[in-house]
Amino acid sequence: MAYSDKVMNHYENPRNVGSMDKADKSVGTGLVGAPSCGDVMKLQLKINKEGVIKGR
Amino acid sequence: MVKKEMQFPIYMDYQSTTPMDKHVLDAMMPYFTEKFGNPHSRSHSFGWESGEAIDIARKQVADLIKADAKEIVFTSGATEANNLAIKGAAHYYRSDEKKHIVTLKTEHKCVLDACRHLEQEGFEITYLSVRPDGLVDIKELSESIRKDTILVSVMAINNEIGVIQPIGEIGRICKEKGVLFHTDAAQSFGKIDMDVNEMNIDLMSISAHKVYGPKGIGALYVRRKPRIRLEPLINGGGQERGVRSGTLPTPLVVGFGKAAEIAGERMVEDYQKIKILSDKFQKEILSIPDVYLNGHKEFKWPGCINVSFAYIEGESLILSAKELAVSSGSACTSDSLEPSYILRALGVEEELAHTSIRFGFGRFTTEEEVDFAIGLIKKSVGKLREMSPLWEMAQEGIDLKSIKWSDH
Repeated sequence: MAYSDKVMNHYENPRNVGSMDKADKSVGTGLVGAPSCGDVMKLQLKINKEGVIKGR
Repeated sequence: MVKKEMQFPIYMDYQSTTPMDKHVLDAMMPYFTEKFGNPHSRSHSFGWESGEAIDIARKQVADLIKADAKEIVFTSGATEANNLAIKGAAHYYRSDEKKHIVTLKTEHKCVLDACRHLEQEGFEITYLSVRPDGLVDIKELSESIRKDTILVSVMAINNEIGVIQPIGEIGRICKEKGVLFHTDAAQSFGKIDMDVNEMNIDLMSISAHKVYGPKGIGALYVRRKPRIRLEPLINGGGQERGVRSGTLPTPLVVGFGKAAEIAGERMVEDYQKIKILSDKFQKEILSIPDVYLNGHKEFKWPGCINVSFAYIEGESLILSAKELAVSSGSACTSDSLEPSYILRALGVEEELAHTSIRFGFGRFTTEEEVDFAIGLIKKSVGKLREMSPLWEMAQEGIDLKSIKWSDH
């Protein structure tokens, strides 16, 4: 397979993976890609009142 | 008996190739060194010795399909045999009244590519669709045969989904309509009963390495009664009755013959063993939610199971289950991101086609390996769905089709 060690490492030891409550007003959700291309990606950010970002 | 220890990765890609049987290698060895003669040399014993070995192998191959040894033309493999059958017949029988060929959209690339090539030369090709279960509609096939049809080419066992086309029925229709019938039997030779007379087959492509024989050798069966004529692809010394010139590779031919002999002896035993193992595997894998079997459930070779795991990319499952040597239904392996044209021809949606994996079972597959594979796949599917945004959305009841995705 033509994947770099770094990619494989993240694949085998996933970091920052999971879901946050998308109904939470402090959570922003983005979704890109298409299932027909097999590359759907979801990114969620949780931002508090002070503007500190917690990403997922 | 000492129990064989499980070796990793577990080989589950028997459709692409098979390991050579040790007995086959033993049969081949002497023909590399001491029995090295050119089988076409008629003036000394070196040649006679090789020639006799070729004669035996030719009969071994012919016997398995109930043909006469004189009807076997050795080639470099099934790709060459398919090219020779299709182009050879098209070129020989071409006339103003004969210029049409019928085939299926789900044929192997080499059949489709040979047909495309003929189209450029002015031939007309009908690429028939298949039903959602992968089988050809016999009525549609019958109606597609025209006055100017030369040849119908339909494979026996499909390499990706394992379905078995109704070869006997197609043969009968072709005979009635007076057109030639070619079948690509690369996946079926030595695995299921193929009888060229009972099935009215005029031309049949065979590969050795799919049945535990060596790579680089195959054959085309060419009917003699009535005699089918072909224009050769390769010109030269006129070997193989002038249809395929070039010195025969004696060791490969001997190995091919031996593999055919063993396949004949073990056909029932192999089939039963493979059926038990693959039935178990199929039942377990299909018990996972949102997993679908591609192709007809019954009219198929049990050694091929093609499954779509919804909401998971096939490639990521292959990476995750790296202890298994399998092939992805999506053609990522061939450096393209296009999903399999065979699954697309069945009407499998692109999203699902991307999630499919082909599992192969063969003579050397063990129950221990199958059990391990079942456990590993269940675990991997669970893990990957856990982090799949699509799976999460589906669980929330969102219809993924209602979303406007940014295809690219």
